[in-house]
Amino acid sequence: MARVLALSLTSLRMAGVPPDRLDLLARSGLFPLEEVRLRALADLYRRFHEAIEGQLADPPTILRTAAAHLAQATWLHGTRVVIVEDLELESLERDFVAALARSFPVVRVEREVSKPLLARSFGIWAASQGIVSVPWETTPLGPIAPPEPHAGLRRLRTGLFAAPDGPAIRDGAVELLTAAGEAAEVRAIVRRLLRQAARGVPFEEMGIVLPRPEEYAPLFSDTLARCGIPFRLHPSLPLRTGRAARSLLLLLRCRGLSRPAVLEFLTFAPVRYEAILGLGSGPTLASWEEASRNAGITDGIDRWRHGLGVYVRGKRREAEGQDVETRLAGALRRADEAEALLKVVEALAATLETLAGEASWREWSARLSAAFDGWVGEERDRRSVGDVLSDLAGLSRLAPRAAWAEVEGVVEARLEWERLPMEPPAKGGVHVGALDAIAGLPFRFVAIPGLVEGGYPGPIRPDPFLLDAERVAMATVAAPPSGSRQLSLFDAPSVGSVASLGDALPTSQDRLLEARRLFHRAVGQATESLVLSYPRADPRSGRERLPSLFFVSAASTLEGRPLDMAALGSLLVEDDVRALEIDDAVDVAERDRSRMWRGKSSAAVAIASANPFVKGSLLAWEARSSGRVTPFDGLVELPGHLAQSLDPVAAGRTVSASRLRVFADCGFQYLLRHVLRLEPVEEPEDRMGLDPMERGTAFHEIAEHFLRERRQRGDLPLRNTSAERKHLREIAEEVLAHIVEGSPPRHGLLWDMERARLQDLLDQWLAREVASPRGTPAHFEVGFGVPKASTSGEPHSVEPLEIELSPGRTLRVSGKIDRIDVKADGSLVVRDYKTGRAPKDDGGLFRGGRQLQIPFYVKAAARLFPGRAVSEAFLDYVDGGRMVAFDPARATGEEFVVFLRELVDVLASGLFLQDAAACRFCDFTRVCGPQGLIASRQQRKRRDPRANRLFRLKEAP
Amino acid sequence: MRFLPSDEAARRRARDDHATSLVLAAGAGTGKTTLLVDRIESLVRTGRASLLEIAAVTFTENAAATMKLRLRERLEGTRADASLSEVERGRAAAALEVLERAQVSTLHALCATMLQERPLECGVAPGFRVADESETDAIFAASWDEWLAERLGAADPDLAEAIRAEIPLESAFEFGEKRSLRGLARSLLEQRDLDPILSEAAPDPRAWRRELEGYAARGLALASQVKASDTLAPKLESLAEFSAGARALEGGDLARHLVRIPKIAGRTGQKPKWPSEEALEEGRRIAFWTTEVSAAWKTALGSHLHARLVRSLLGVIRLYEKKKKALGALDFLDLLLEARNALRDSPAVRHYFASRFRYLIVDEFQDTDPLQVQIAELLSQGVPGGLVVVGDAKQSIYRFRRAEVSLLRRLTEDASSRPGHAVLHLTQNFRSRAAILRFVNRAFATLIQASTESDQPAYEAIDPPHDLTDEPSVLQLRFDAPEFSEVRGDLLNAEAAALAAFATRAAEGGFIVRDPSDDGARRSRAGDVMVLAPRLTQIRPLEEALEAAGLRFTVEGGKSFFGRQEVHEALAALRAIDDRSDRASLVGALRSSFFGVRDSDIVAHVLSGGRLFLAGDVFTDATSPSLRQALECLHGLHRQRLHLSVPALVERLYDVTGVLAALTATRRGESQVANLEKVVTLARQASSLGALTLRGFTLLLEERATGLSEEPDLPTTRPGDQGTVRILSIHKAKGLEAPIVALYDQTASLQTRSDVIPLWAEGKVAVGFVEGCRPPGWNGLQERDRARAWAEGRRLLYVACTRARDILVIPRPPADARAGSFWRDLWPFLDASPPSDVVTLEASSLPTSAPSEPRFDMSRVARAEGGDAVAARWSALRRDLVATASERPFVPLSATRFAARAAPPAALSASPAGRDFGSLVHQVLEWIPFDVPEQAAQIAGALGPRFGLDLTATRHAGEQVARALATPLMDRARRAGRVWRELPLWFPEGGEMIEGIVDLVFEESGHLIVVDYKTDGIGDEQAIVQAAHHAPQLQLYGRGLTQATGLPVAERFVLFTALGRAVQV
Ligand code: SF4
Repeated sequence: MARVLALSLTSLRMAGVPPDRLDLLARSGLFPLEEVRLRALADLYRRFHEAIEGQLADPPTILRTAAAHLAQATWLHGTRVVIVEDLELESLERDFVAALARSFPVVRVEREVSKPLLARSFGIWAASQGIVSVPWETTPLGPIAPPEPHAGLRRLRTGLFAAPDGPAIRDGAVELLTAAGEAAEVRAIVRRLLRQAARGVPFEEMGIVLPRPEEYAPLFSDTLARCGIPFRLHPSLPLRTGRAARSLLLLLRCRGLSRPAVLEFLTFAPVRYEAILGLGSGPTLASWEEASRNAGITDGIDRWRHGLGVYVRGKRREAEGQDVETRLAGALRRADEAEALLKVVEALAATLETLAGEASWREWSARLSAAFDGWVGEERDRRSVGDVLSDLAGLSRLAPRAAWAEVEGVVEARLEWERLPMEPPAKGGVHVGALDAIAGLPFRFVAIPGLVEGGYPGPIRPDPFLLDAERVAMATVAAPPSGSRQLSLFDAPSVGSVASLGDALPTSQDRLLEARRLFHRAVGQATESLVLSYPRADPRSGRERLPSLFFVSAASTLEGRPLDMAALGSLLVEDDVRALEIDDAVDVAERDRSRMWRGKSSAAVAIASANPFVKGSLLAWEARSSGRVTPFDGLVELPGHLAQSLDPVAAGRTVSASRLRVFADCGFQYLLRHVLRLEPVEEPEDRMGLDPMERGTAFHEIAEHFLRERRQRGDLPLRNTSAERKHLREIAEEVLAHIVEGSPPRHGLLWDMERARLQDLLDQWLAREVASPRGTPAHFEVGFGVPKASTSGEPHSVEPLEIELSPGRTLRVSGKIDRIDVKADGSLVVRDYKTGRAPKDDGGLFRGGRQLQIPFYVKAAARLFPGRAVSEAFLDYVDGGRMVAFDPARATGEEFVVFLRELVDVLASGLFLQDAAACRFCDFTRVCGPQGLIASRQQRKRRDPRANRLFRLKEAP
Repeated sequence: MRFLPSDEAARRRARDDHATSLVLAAGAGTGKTTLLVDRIESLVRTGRASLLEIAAVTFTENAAATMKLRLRERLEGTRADASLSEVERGRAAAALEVLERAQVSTLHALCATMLQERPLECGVAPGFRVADESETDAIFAASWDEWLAERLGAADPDLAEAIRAEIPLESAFEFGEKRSLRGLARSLLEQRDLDPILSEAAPDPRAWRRELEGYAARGLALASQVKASDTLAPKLESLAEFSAGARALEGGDLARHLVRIPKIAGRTGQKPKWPSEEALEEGRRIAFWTTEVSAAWKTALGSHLHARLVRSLLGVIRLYEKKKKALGALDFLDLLLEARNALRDSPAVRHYFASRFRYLIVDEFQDTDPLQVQIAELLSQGVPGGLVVVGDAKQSIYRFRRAEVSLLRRLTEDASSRPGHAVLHLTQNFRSRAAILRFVNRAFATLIQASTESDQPAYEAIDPPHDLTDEPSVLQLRFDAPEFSEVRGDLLNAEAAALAAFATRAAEGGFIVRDPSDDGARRSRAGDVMVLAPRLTQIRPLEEALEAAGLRFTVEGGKSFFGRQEVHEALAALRAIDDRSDRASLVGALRSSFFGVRDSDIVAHVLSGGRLFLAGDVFTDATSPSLRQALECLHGLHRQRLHLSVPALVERLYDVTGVLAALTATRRGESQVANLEKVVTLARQASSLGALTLRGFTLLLEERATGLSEEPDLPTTRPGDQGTVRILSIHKAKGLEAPIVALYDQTASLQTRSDVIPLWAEGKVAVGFVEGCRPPGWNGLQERDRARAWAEGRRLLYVACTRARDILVIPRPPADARAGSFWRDLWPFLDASPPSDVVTLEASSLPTSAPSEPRFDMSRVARAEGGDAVAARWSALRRDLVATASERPFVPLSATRFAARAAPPAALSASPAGRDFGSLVHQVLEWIPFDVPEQAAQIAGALGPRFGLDLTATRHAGEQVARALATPLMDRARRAGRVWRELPLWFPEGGEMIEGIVDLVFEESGHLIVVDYKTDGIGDEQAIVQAAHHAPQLQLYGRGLTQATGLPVAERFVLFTALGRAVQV
């Protein structure tokens, strides 16, 4: 609101409207329905006027004063004035030029303008002021007068926006270009710059005129830089795009200390860590990312302190128990780094504290400058940002105090408004500039992009504060009574109000005419060739877009007749990258793409021989789209000793039952997790509750603890009393508290519900256990093939389970049996706790490997308790309370060995295939890609006998 | 003789009867846009209206642009038409003068115009922005996050209830957002102009329990009289148990318990075991009651939960509104709502716009929603001639965007009975061959039957154009599906193969068609084929079949951007570049198409003790060269991310990896390249959404990718490209036509379920949600809605069939295939049509496309080595070209810098008061008349704010100026004949071009005096040293001035303003 109003009020001042004039209009009765608004506007304008007049040197004041004092400017005596370019002037500006013409000889360089643009143009007005038009050659600028243009360009100068007439001119001087989106359009124009260069036109004599600089300037800047073409932007990009300004904005976003914001700032800004931390060298930022993530920090200084504190202690503890030198050092280093991070965050918090509340602008300026100086180190745009901050002090003239939110808004707006400092030009470069910024400069080659309907000209709307009809009416309302002398800043004699306001206040139609003239002027800047272009598709949605009326006007002027879309279409040029000659390619990407299209295999070989990534990419694409398994989709064939280390049997390594299960689920996941030792990245702020894994672990721990305690006290069989339930809950609380030790739950509600859900589960579990006991719970977490934990007191075997897969190949398996119950007859019941949905209890055996642990447990139990039979085995799905039986006899049968042999053979052969069926509970999708694609590739790979065998194995019941 | 359309009278009236408001019922292909342009031209030419008094409303922005261009052409024609009067031509000329301001736009844009023009009266912020979809998405996301955090923090019981009911808070794996609470919030947001239907009554579980206890007790009593092993009695007993279980419960626990009431089947119980028939009957009544009450209680509880959640979620919408307001933005719905409200509530606004737009023309009226219609009616005020609407109820297919086909019917009924209003029917088709239209008329006269219940309009036949060849033009494409054709995928594959074979035939010129540009007959091309599908989710088989046939194609309107491999890979690479701790992304990047590192190389690296991390020392020990280079490359980009713009960084990634070239080689290459280029576009747009860094961008992208949000795939070729088959959804094809139209997806069934049912008359909306959480009466509403959806399905068929100009291809699966319901209704008409209209083509008779040969010899690629001579030569030439073109006759050097080479050291290097202070002093000294030193303070005060200086600083500046003016030197300047201030100078000096600005130069008896102002805060004692430091610069200026003016320089001064002292140098 304020911005738009300020614009309206400023333009009224520029038009030299005295405040009383608006009052008169409001009271004129011409607009009875609008009186309230007009009166309010008059009032606002009066106050605005009074606040400035005689106080500040705003442009109207300067113009008026200058006009009044021109005659006294002795040092200008003898000056001749040449107006080279027609200008769109506000009325006070015209007054100044008129004054100039009264005191000095002023001439205007003659120019060709098409008739419809003459109305209210500068040329007509200038003539009325006695400013004569002269040919270029007769002015002192004669030597640099632009050459006579080709016919097409001439036609545009004289006929644009007039009724099209005459034979079509297709002399190649004007090209009507289109492309699929702004970026493609920019590339097409850069291609033409290069073509011109090849013709011998220096870059310095090429201009790109941007009707929509906000959109196109960054595009040109990036594309030209990418092609190594020197250029100059008029004006340069907003300061906000520089690193120092971005760093400042990021710093401000750290309020609340949310982890992503803090890390974004710390890893991007040129922070002087050495100074803050007193270190010799900067920190390893990656370790900060890791530490803060693993510490589960989300936001707030308390969480940072707590989380990093627990993390540091954890690392130090880890170091204590470590005897491998490098690991010890690693743990200590991490602890130190996390401490350093905390120190930095504390400092950041302290800085941010200064940036809150209310203060004077001078104070804000000082505080912001201090924050900026303290945090943001040397950068190209640093000085300019510093200036913006120190400039804030000047605002104290307008308001004594400001709240932080307002300050932040002003800083952002200033950084958007101010421009990046420009490097002094070292070479000749292409001029790229806004329509008004480089108006009037002649270039041998000119391109005007962005001429799309709705884009340029944009919507032309009346000023909502003073509508068109009211503007016109201003001219007719009576002049104010004389004697109201205006204050003059320089105490000069009053300039008086503008005699007639008839022309002074531009209406929408005036602005349309002005826009047409601006376009005409831009077109006229070309002396040899001109490119007009528009993007024919929206680069984001692909939606079709049409050329603007200006573009079509230019086209029909050239053709000498009105054009329909089809006729226009036939005049349009669009580059086809596939058909490009390579000399015509803008950059390496285009060059190689066109070669690929045209040269096919030989081009591919040539390109691949210079760029290993292209080679890799081509081979990968071919491999992945084939029906074979390849080294690009999980087939890992390695030289001898390395290959051995993949095969647990050959390496003589013990492998845990759960890892084998992971392999059976998805070989690729096994590869990532257990061979490459990757951890999926989990962002603490995305964490809402317990993930299924954590929930499972928690249940295991609680059940183990509870049952073991009962057993030790001789308190079995279980009872379902309120005291028991209460105790079970207490254990649960303890276990849960441990889980969130480092990072207290962010959302109390979710956490409470999570707890309640787990407690519910435990209650039901206990009830079930009591209602249908399968024996007496006897042993819990019974390990085999793992080192013995000192405290458990359970039967244990450090020896892994050995299963002879084939003569000479023995698989060693470790694991922990969740629980063993003893029945009255002394036989054993083995159980494997599961969370999640139970499968159908259909007597399935190994379920393609997804049910692999239970047979191992049965075998291990049999070995640990010789002489006792395992009479029952279950997968105990605690969530839904379903028990899925496994026939213990199957564990000792040949089919188990056969299954394992096949599975381990696949593993040993280095085949780690992706399996889309497992993606739902896997966090590695950022490695693998969307599930649908994995599934379709998997389908293809089944054509390979090896893959087919594996998938068939996995489909076994 | 000129051809007269069968509906010529209607057309003439539509063009020239300006005093009547019209409803134009325009069938498919009847050339309505031309007619509308004609009417506008006629209004203008006859002087009935000026162009600015007409508002024409189109369905899309593209349609508006097209209409503007046609209008331009039409008016140009009128202006040049010598047969017209001077006055008429003048009017056309005047219209052309204002054409850019003409209100030809979508309704949203019209509303935006009104609001921008009268913001104060409409109650919106002047100068508001229209937030586009990505921005509103971002605002919604922020509102949701804030609401959720706040509600979770406050332990909101409604939220707890939702979680307990296992309603996901945010996106639910494969269902996306829809079935989550966030999805419900979004639906409410989209319908916020309507009141959601909510259950008012809270359930009373205690009353339920009482009821239960009554029935349970009675049931138990009955059961006690029954002989053993009856089937009903034990169930009655368990009902009693269930009832007992409810006794101790209260509140939510009680309600949740009660809805689990065991349902007893009604016909159980064996008569002989019961004491009497009445007793058994009573028992059965209890059984029946359990089923009834179970449903009723569930519904009641569900509606109650729904109401609580909806009320709570309205908080998200309030936040959304607040944030939007703070940003000064309006979204698309706001545009309509605010405009409607202003027109409805403010007589001034209504009056203003009714007289501003005296003629309103609305195209595609069948797809407007009631809000839009209200706006149109408020604008036109029922004045005869003021409103023309054009529409075809049979083509209304945008229910999902709230279109209401019944509105057109209402308006039509109104117009036919109201004076000054009329209904005209356009039935002359200009598009399709007669055989197609006969088939269409035959089929849809049956398929589209008027019904008020389903809002189906009556069918109106369209007349074929007179001058086209009359030959069979509907092609029934029969194809075989293998016997396992009940598997959906197989059926689709078979259909896709048939269509690909057909398209190949078309591409080879197997058919004669009319060229769309000049209607001349010619052989067909691939670009003539447009494939229409009801949905684009099942087009992969078609894509693969076309690929296999070596045909180029483009899919328009697909939304699976985030499901594409290349996008995913780009994201992984960008994450790896940004965050070195993200090793998973690093592996994703390495194996991606960007680098193509083998899995085995990565594994070998790790097994040999190598690390997966971007750091210098890691590269040296990488075993495979390709891995090492990839790691180096990523590390380089990691460092560059700090200095490049995000889009530039993404492009750099593409450049160094050559990924675009590599993908070009693949079959899907073009669309992959387009998608990667779109990533750059998104990076550009991300900065307007607040992303400042690569991280900001990747987070934004990732959020959208994981939220499975829909984002268009880009069509890769230019529309009209001769060699490209177009694939579109039927919705997208609205208003389009093609010589050959083929229908696709025999597995599709009509979707008749909707989640949102608006009840416009009541101003309400039923927003359905997941089972167990729906508004009261949902089932009934859904039932009624289904009929409308079904009717719309028929209209979709109509739209699809009427797009074809010359050939309409309808695939026909074998009779035993399990095809979906969508296209099935057409089949009987294929069978019933005469061979003069419909011919059958057996797909098996078409030559099967040759298996496309591998485009590359991969074994040669694998062995490729030794460099690329072509590329090297290109690069060298390019370097030369750029170097030559960059040459410049001279490069100016700043005088300060040049002089600094020779300057002795300064006493003080920088001015403590700052650059801005110095600038202000200079500016005042430039502007102030030398004879009024007393004004220095005032002028400094006036100019200070422009330099960001506060009062103290400006006062100091004023003082320094006054001090400077008081020096004898300035007194000389005051008396001098000629004075130049801030004089720009360019001059050659020792082979260089120097540029600089001299602060002050004046002429004293044929000599020049040069003065440089310095605001250095030095002490008096330092002045000489400091002046010596500045001396070379003044000497340089002196030389330049002499060159330029020919006058000798007599003296040079440094004027220290802080000291008020001039030192000669
Ligand atoms: S995302 Fe899917 S394919 Fe990739 S590792 Fe995980 S389960 Fe396997």
